Amino acid sequence: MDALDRELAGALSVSPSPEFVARVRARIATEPAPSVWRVPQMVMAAAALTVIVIAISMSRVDQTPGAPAALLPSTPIAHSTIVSGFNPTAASASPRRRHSRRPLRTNPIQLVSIDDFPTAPIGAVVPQMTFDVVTMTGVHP
Amino acid sequence: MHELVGRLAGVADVDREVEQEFEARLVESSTLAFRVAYGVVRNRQDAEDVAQEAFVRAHRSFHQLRHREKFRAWLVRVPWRLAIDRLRSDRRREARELAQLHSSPEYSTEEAIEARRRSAELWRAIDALPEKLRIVTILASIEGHDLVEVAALLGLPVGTIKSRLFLARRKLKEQLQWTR
Repeated sequence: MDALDRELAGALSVSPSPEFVARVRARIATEPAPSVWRVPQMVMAAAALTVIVIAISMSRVDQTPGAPAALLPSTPIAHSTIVSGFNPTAASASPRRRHSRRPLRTNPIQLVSIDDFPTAPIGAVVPQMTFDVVTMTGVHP
Repeated sequence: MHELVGRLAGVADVDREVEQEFEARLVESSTLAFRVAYGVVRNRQDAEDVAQEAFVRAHRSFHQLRHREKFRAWLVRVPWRLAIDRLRSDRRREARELAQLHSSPEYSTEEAIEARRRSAELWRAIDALPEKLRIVTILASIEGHDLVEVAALLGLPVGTIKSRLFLARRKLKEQLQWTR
């Protein structure tokens, strides 16, 4: 050990005061609880909230048995039907096209009301489908 | 319900274990943290403040530390950075040190004044070192730290520590007349 080592060692041979550790303990004691507690508290709060929500919804269901069915109006099924724009070319697209990154062009939904043709069976409508629209000409009375 | 109570008790047990482990680390590492801080701020009170702050921060994230056996290595960096920040922001440090020098009775003799002058020269030379060399010098000079321990504290290969220490000593000797 030369003069430099001795000087360096001497310069750093200092120790904290005897009360230092006690001061650190006291300071830590005034700190809020470390986050090891915070996560379970948040999880517990979320779980409690979920239980409350489920309990409330269950109690409402118990109070009104069969209510949704009673409230439903007796609407004829064939009153209004939404038929999407069926595109047979898209449905029968080759697998190569399915893998292409370019998204398939989708046709806008076509709304076709068949209120005017209540007696037309759906089987009579389907064969008349063209690319984007449903034509009703074939089922006119 | 029993499961919830059981889990809560488990969390409390884990918390207690973490606290006990931290307490042990605090006792064994307090001098190290203090000396690392002192190596930068060179004032006992400031070094204690910095080391205390380092331990408070360490306590906050102690449970997240995966390898707790590396606590000392992790801890060394905290007071080092805090002390550097403090030193940069503390503009009154020099005035305070000057006041201490004049008020201290231990520097009354010529020999003591010479020791003080050498110490001031040494610290000036240490301050002039690049940070990488400075921390190696300080850690290696803290009693009981050999190259392997310094390497473990800094997470660097022993060869790197050795070469950095060699460079640091050469630079210090270039600046300090009395080492020749």
